[in-house]
Amino acid sequence: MSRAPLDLALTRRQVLQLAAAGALVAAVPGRRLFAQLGRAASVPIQPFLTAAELAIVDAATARIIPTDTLPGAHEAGVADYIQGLLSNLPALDANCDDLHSAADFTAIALRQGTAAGSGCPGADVNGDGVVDAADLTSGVVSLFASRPVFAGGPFSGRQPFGDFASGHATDTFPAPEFHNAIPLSRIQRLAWTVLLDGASAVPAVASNPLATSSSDVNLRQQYRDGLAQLDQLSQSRFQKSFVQLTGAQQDQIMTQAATFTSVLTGHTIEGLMSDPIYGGNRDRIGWQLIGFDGDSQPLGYTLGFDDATQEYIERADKPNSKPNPDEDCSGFGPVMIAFLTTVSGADETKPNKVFDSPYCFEVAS
Amino acid sequence: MSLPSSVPNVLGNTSLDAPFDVAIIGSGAGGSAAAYVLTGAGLKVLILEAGNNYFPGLDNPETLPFPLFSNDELKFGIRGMVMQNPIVEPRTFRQSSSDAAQANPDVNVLARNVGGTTVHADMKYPRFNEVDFRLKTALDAAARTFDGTSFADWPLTYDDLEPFYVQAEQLSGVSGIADGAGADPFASDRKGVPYPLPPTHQMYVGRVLANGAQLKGYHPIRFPGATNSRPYDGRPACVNCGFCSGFGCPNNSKGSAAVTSLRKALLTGNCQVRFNCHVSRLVRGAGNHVTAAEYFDADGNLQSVSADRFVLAASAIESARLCFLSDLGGPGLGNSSDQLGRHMMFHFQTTAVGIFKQRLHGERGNSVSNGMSDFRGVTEGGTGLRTDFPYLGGIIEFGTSSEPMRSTKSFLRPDALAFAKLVGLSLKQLLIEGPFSAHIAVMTMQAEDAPQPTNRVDLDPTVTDVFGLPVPRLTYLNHRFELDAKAFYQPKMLDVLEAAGAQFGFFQPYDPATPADSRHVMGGLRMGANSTTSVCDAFGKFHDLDNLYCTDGGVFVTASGYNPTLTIIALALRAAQNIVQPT
Repeated sequence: MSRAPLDLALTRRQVLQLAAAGALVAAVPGRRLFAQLGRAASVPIQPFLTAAELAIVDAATARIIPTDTLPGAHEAGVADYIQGLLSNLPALDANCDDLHSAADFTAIALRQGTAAGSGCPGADVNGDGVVDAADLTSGVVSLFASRPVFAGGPFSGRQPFGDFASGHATDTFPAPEFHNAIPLSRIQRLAWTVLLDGASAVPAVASNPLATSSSDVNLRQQYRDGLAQLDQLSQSRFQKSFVQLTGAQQDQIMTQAATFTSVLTGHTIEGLMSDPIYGGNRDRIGWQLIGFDGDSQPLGYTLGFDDATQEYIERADKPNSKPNPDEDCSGFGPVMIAFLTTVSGADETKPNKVFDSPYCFEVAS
Repeated sequence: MSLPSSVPNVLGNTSLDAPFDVAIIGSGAGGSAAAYVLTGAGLKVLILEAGNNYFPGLDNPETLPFPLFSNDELKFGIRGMVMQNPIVEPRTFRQSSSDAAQANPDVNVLARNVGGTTVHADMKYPRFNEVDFRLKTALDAAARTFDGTSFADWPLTYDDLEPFYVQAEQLSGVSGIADGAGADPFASDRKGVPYPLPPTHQMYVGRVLANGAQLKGYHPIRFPGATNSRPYDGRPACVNCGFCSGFGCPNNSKGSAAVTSLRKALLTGNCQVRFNCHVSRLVRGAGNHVTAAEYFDADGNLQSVSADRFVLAASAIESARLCFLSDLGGPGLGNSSDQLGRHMMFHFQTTAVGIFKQRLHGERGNSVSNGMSDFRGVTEGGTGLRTDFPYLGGIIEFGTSSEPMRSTKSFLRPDALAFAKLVGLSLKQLLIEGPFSAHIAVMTMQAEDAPQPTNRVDLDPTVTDVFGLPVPRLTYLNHRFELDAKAFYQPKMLDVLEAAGAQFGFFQPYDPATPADSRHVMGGLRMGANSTTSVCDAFGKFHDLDNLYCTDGGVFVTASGYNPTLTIIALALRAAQNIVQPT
């Protein structure tokens, strides 16, 4: 089997793994699951990463998705996403109604001066045993610094309702709900604890190698060590801190710290493309970059059904069943063509192929 | 009684208490369908659901509220909100009984929440073929034999199940086309009964691939599915938001078990669901009687509940596991046949990927609107075995990518190899040009998986879950039955991609060292007429026990090459009907 040199150093296997992920099997691997500490408010409320660490995260993620003529990870606020992921700030539930809302602040205000154990324990936000003014302040910090593990639903409020019977979008927008974080079950909270603090924090998972020795868990320690490693390598090689290096130098350091860079790369993708409610994808920069619309509910892409023509009514700008109105069939650039040609070239083991592709978007039927 | 429930972790009638008439383990397709029939007949039913509930007010008689689902890839595909979590509930995997099993993050993991896997499936609901129910006889007649397999006829026929297929389709709101263009010529006789709803809207990528299939002389179909193509049963029409496969539906147009059978059961007042309740053991009393189910409640405290009858509907792997957990040190509950946990099947998926010049915008639509059954390997009408395509493949789903984070992240796994080239502007360019997102078309064949007694679930000897319970250990290796079918149909799939206008085409590699990608989990509690060769009878009742039943995919005898959920529902309806009114 001959293999042409790759412009992008990807193995065939990696490419095919990606391709597999595009397959619409009714499948969601549960490889990365997160949970939230919920109402247990005994931990001090402060961001996990220090300002210095956050600066390294910002610089390093900006090398993973750089800024050129188009914005990158820095502009998208990927570091803020990662801070929210690691900070483990409890979604405030001060009245034990399983909701995260303004009523929680009322509950704290009404209970000032009482002991934590005399009512809903969540009202003692800073965990000092008493409900007082400090908890209100902490509550504000909590509300604005924490990011949901599972954002609320069903709608962001960015898209209007449609009217299927008439086949039109309406000018009524639903109330935004994404900020109302969904409370987690006990099991989900345990999983989140392992994810952030490792298996030692939850003795019941001690026999599970996925909790004790997986690179997907114990994220806080991985970040604390990994960021220190980046600075350490920078000092010993260039006698400067990581954030003071040139981009090319930073790339060299990150290549050396391959394991941590891998973790960081995964979270950069999340911070770039997840809903802005999680702290990244600021102003939906990540979605614009890749041409992704993000959430479309409740409007969606099919507005109704026309009984007269027996056709579904689609959005002219974003059709469901037809090519985009601005589709120019320009296809891929030469670098991508060379890359795709290599990964899809025929070999002895798989009948992969490069086709002539006689046409672009015609559909006969 | 007052609905909706205001008690934490409980849906339905909170005044009901033990002993219940029936206790059901699992609120997914099979458990909820059984509950629908049983509660409708006036029986007092408890459902114990291990997962959380994202349908607040599902038991509200006035209105069906919106659920907590949303167009949010992070909380579904990345953080797995509705999934079983391997950090706290792992499974182990090995290829043969001589290997040591390894913990694996994704041994055919299914959803774990009220409504089960139907919550995040994209609801492809075809029926099985007539020949599927007598496959052993048909294979023997064609002199096709396969060493090491355990093909058998089902203890019921397509005709026995057909009325329940009709009921399951009406209950779930299946959209599809029974006759004419877009109908499946290989589907079995519907006896004149149309689908409850016309087909869902076609996706662009579906039309592109259907065109390719047509040009190659095949018969592209409009995929039957339980998604509302029109308003139906008090639920709105699907707006094709695109967050379908792998996502909970924000507007309830997806006919999940939660918003169909389970809601109807809850509104009878005869049903109570306790969620975040993980069943750890069924307690066997005197004789062949199960007397109680023990479970860890939402706070982790061990509870026990009694009932006259018990129904296992926890999904095939978990139901078999629970039988083993209920007889630790023994052969397993209901296992006098030594068939418990054996004959596990997953559809053997072959995935062909096409990259097109144009953007196919797979992020719009209901994930899979089109497909083809030409590679199923059965004759028209599904009554015999084809001789020109002499391999039992499966239905092919015409799909695409709608999850940019998952696509990109799996591209970057398992490590940041050659960092300087994998990331930076090259990575950014890859994301912008999007060959594996906006330009991708995917054909997935759900091929028939041969039953083998050596493909089995039992308990892992060393790994326990967060409850301290031994986890399921899967031993699984593909048979040449599947591998030969894959080799035969692969080039034909590539031909379809070429005819459709793809620029590049390739296949997902096959790696027997990892569990199958399939979410179609079947077998392990196989049904049969003979109590020495099967675990359950034709109505899902355990041969060994007077009052224990199974209504999930565990009872399947063979796998077919069609998606299994509608058949799970039909079998569950039939089993429950037989409890209410024994035949």
